[in-house]
Parts: sequence; structure tokens; C-alpha cells
Amino acid sequence: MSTRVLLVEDNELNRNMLSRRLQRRGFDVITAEDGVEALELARRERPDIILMDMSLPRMDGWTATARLKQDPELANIPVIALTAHVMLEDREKALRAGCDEYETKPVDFKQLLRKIERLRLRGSRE
Amino acid sequence: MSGTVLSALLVALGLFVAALPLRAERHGLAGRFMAATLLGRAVALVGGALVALWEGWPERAGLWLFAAGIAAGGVFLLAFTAAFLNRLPARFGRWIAAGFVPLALWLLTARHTSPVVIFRSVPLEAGGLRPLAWLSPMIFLYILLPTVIVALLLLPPLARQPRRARWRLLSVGLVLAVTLASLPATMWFNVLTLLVAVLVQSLAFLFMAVAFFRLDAHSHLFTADLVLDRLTTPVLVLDEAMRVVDANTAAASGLQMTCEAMVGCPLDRVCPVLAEALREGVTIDTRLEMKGRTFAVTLSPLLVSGGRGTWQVVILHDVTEAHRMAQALARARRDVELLQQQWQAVVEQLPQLVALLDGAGRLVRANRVLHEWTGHESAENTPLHDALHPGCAHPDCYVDVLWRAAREEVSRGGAWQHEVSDPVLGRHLIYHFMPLTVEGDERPQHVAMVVEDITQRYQYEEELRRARDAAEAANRAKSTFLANMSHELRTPLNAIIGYSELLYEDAVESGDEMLAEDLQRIQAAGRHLLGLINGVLDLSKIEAGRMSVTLEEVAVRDVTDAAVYTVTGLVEDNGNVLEYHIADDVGVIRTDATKLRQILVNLLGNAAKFTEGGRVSLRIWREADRGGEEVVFEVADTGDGIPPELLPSLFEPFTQAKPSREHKVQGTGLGLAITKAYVEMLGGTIEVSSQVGRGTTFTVRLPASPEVRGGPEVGEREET
Repeated sequence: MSTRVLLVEDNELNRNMLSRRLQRRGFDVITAEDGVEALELARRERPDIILMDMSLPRMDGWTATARLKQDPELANIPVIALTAHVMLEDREKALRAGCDEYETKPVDFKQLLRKIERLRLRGSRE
Repeated sequence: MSGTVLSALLVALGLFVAALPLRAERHGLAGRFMAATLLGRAVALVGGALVALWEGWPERAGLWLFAAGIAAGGVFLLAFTAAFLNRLPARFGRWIAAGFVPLALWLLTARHTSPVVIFRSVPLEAGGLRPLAWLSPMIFLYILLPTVIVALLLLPPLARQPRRARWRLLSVGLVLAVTLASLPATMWFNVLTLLVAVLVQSLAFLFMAVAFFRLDAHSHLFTADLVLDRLTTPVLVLDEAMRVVDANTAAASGLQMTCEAMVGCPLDRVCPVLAEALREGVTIDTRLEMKGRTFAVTLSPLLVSGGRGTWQVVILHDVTEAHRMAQALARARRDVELLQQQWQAVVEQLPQLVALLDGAGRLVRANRVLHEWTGHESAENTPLHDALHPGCAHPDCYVDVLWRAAREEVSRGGAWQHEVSDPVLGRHLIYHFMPLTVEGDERPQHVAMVVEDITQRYQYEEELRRARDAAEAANRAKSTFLANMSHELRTPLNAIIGYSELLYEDAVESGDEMLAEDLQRIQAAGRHLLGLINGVLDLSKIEAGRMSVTLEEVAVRDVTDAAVYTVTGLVEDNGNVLEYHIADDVGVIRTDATKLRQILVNLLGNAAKFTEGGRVSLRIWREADRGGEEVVFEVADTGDGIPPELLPSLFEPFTQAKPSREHKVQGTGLGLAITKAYVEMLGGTIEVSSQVGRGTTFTVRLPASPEVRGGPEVGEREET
């Protein structure tokens, strides 16, 4: 069974590009455009990993991540923050919100894949 | 011996005895004249007695004795009177001499038989004498006339004298009465009666002498001369014409003249300074300078009897020492006053408000600043609140609160200060309160208050604060803008790079190499753009001073190994050889490892990029510097080198040695600027030397123990 990835991204180009690249690598990609939708999909679809943009309409990535991590059923889904915010404090902020990993845009795809793999392995061990 | 002769001798003895003590010094000149008078009488009586007793005695000698005694007695009586009344003429000796002229005439004309007639009880007729011819010269010239003159002179002043002088009055009256009473006796031609009259008159003189000198021997009138002469204070008596009437010994010695020489002299000749002062008018402050001494002058009027005017007693007090001390004191007082005035001026001119408060918080004294601030004159002895805020009726004014707090601290002996913005005065003030302890001051403690007006400084600071806040706000805005810009640029860049990678994979898969190559170029351009964005972000942080430095003990080899590892691939891409040499003694330095690694990666990366098929080398060694030790990092390549004209601007942003080769060499143009900034943040220096065609060498020197202050801890770009 292929890994199910929830990609939360409001920018259509990036959402399209990244989901296509992930699908090409064999991932089962579902997408959400904002935090609210992300939470709904996470509950409904139970993805193996969530790639979360931080600047989102309606509900931002930090809030959505924090909500996810507060939900006992969803808390163990790894979240990788995908953000164009590159400052060190942004990383801190993301990790504080509960993100397991942090990746800046433009995305280094190979590195992203490595991080997904690592978190997926950790998730399956638990 | 007849009873008459015996009584004459007894009276003569009495006169003689009475005369002797009168010559004593304490009786003065008057005493000596009186003594001479009495002795004259005594001599006359003895002369008469000798004629009467001794038949063989030469009559002429007895006559001489008798006449001389009588005459001298009269003359000296006049002299006594003059001396006693203090009206001794200047050359009284001449007057006395003049008195002897009639005496001599009488002695030449008188008949030698006259004492014989008296003392041998021979009737006048028998002696061949006519009574009036014999009596007139003797009686009138030497008994009656002097006696009456003396009585007339002495009686009026004696009548004015106090009770204790009544004996004198009585004695003079008695002498006069006896003398006048003896006149009828001479008319009787009774020689015995005449002799009795002479005897009684002599007894009356004796009584007068006793009355004058014995009963009142210690009277001030007679001790005065003596006392005056003993005084060390010069005393002069002057008449209306400012002639010297009398002067004491001290005056004489002070003016270097004799008393006798001074008497009768105009004062102008004796002492011109004093004469001048008297003409100008003497006051209590008059001071005369004579022979290096200073004198004060006291004048007292001396009423001269008989309405002859007023004399002046001039007393010169030697006040040299007192004067000198008074002058010194006055000088000292002037100095103190001057100092006080100067000090007062200093306090007045201070820009701060300086005030003295009493223990109850009332203003005792304040300098002019208070007036400048409040516009009110004389706030003295008013409560501090009213003094500072005249007319302000605010019940809870801060001044009262301030004073209460200050008083509490000051009463414990401490100073107290407070900064406050005064809305009434419109000033920003710093109050200082200090206890004021003056030795010997028993009153409740006074307090010194100094108020500093720092309005201007406060405004400057306020402006500075605002300017700084504005600058910080601008800086924050800039940072926010850069962060946002970075964010906004990255989002499309993400799509560009992502899609081109996607397409590249497609192209590789379909075997379209041309397309794959082009797509790779898009990718490279995208990454270049990304590098630019990162560089701009870093540089702006550095320029804003917000790039932090974390100093720690760093093993240099660990950092250089990591840097070399990072660039190995890049070096080999261009077919270059990497030479890496680190000295054994480099050891540990205190620096920021991340920045050092970034510096080395940047320099090595540059060297690799601009060198093809050559050599890139990194050598590290330790050197002793002026102020300590430093580690030198030398990055050298065998590339194309940098033209000399480009070297000066090499470390400025967006400068690249070979812009024409940009299509081939990837670089943002920001790397060296950032590198230089990092080196300087670590307290080091960076130098470059290059030869076109031969290669370039960058030398970085970092101190082993730098004194580096980084900016505030603010985020850096996440290293990717």
C-alpha cells in the first residue's frame, strides 16, 4: 500500500507541481487548500504524512498543526512544515506549533523525500 | 626774756615746723610757695627776737633778717596763690623777682632802728621814728597789701568749693581779719600791740597753712599734678588761643621738649599735628600719627574761674596696638565679607536653584533662579510649595509629597533626590535634598536643596528616544519587508524550480537531451536567483547590525574539515585539485564556528568556480600577533586572477571579477561582501592578492581571542 500524503498548499501552481512530483514517486497524494480543509481531510482520510504550508487562508498552518497535534487520534501523523518563511525563528515557530520537520521553499525535492521517508519509518515503528 | 619775745620765738618755731612738710613733692609748687611764705615769717620773727634779746647783736643784721623774712613771706604768699589757683604765669620767676624790687627799696630806706623799737619795747618817739614813715612801707607793701590781694583772689573760688574746703575759706578769712584788725593797732603807736598783731597774723598764716595742706592734704587738687606727671598718657592744657598752659611729663617726653619750655608756647609750635586736628574738630574717631604711634584725642573743657573763658584739657591716648588690631580686624572682616560676597555671587550665578530650608520646610533663602522660574520676588520664609508654585492652590501638589519624603530621608542624615516633571513651572527637574549640619547650630536641622533643570536634556533624550524608536521601527519594517519579499519571491521560484525539475525528468525519460539541457539551465538560473535572495537577506541583516555572533571555543580543524568536505564536489567539478594543509599547532580558537565555516566555504567555492583544471589550496597556520595570537587561513587558486583595477571594489556587493563569464560561472556577487562582513564580525581581517593569469590568494586572519560584540540576537536565515 502506497504512502498517503496530505499536501496542504493554497498556491495552485505549487500544489499542482508538488502533488505531481510526489505522485510520480508513487505517493498517494490528497490535497487541501487551507487549514480547515486540511483538518477535515486528515480526520477523514487519515494520511500517513502531512506536508503543511504555513501561510494559508481561513486557518493557517501553525493553527492547523497545533489542532492536529491536540487531537489524540491525529497527533501521531507526522507533519512537515513547507514554508517560504526562512528565518530561524520561523523554524522555531513551526516546531513549536508541533511540526515534526521543516522544509523551506523552494523545496529541495530529494531532501524532502528523505525527510518523508525518515518520518514514515518512524511512524510505522510506533 | 620777755613773754613777747618768747611767744615770737615759739610762733617762729611753729611756722618752721609747719613749713617743712609742705615742701614735700606731693604738695607741688603751691606747697613749696606756702612753705617759703611760712619760713619767711619765721625768719622775720627770729630776726626780731634776736634784736630784742641781745643788746650786743648788731641791730642792722636783725633788721635785715626781719625785713627779708616779712618781704619774702609776702612775695611767696602771692606766688602760692597763683600756683594754687593754677594761674602761674609763664615766667613766674620774673614776677617773684619783681616782688623783691620794692623789698630792696624798703630795705634801703627803712630806719635800722625799727625792729629795736618793736622788740625792745622802745617808744617810737624815743627811737626817733615817726610812726607812719616807719609803718607804711612795711604794712602796706608786705603785710597788708599781699594779704588782702591773696584774700581777694582766694575767697571767691574757695566760696564755691564744697564743704570740706570750708577750713580753707575760714583760714583765709581769718588772715584777712587779723591783718585788717592790726591796722588800728598801728595807729595807736603802741609797739606792743603792733607786735601782738604780727604774732597773731603769723599764727593765722600757720592756721591757713594747716588748713590748706594738712586738713586736705590728699585732696585731688594737690595730688592731681603728681598723678598727671606719673601718667604715661600725655596731657596738655590749652588756653583759648591754643597756647600750652600746662603739660605733664609724658607729653613733654613725647614731644621731646621740657614742660617749662612748652608752657606758654603756641600749640602750632609744640605739636602742629594736634593743632591741625583741633582746628578741624576732634571726634571720637580722630587718630593722630606721631612718631610711629597712633593716638586718640579726648578733649574736656576746663572752666577758668573769674569768667576768663574756657581752657581745654587735651588727653592723648596711645591706641597704637588697639588701632593696629582694629585695622587688622577690619581687614579680616573685609576679607571675610568679600569672600562671603564672592561665594554669594557664585551661588547666585549657578544655573541650578539653590535654597536653604528650615526643618519645617520653609524656604529661608534661595538664589535668583527661583525668581527666574516663578517670576515672584522674595519667596523667603514661605513654605516650599508656596515658594515654588506661588498662587497655586492645588491641594495635593507633588512638592508637599516630595518634601515629606525628603524630610524623612534627610532627618536620618541621608541625601535624597528625585526627578520630576513640574507642570506648573513647565520644567523637568531633579531635586536634591541634603542635610545641612553646621557646628554649634542647635536649631532643628536645616536642609540644603538644589534643583537642577534638565528640561532641555530631557527633551533631547526624548527626541533621541523617539528617533531611535523610529529608526528601530524602520529597521523592523525593513526586516519585515525583506522577509515578506523573500517569502513572495520563493513561492513562484518554488514552482519554477519544481516544474523545471519535473520537466527535466520527463525529458530525460523521453531521451530529449536538448530539452533536458535547457531545463537544467532554467534550474540553474532558478537556483542562482535563490542564492541572490538569500545573499540579499543576509547582507541586509549584517548591515542592520542584526547578525549575531556566538563565540565559543572551536577546534579549527573540525571546522576546516567540514568546509573542505562541503566544497570537495564543487572543486572537482571544474577538474581542480584541492590541496589542504593545516599546521599541527593551530588548535582551538574562540570564534563562531558557523560563520567561520561559511567564510571558508565561500572562499573555497569562489576559488573552485573561477579555476578550471588547476589547483585550489587551503593552508592554515598560527601566528603571534601584536596583541595576541591569530590563525591565518589562506585560500589560493591558480585561476585567471583578478585585474588590479577591480581589486579595490572586490568586497562590495554585486561585484564580480568577470561579468562576461557570468553565463558560465555561477555566483551571486554577494558572497565576498558577506564573507568580509563575517570576518570583521569575528574581529579579523581579509586581504586579497592576485595576478592575472596566475591566480588569486585570499588571506583571512582571525584573532584567537577576539573582543567581538555582535548585534542583538535576531533571527538569521535558516542555512539550507
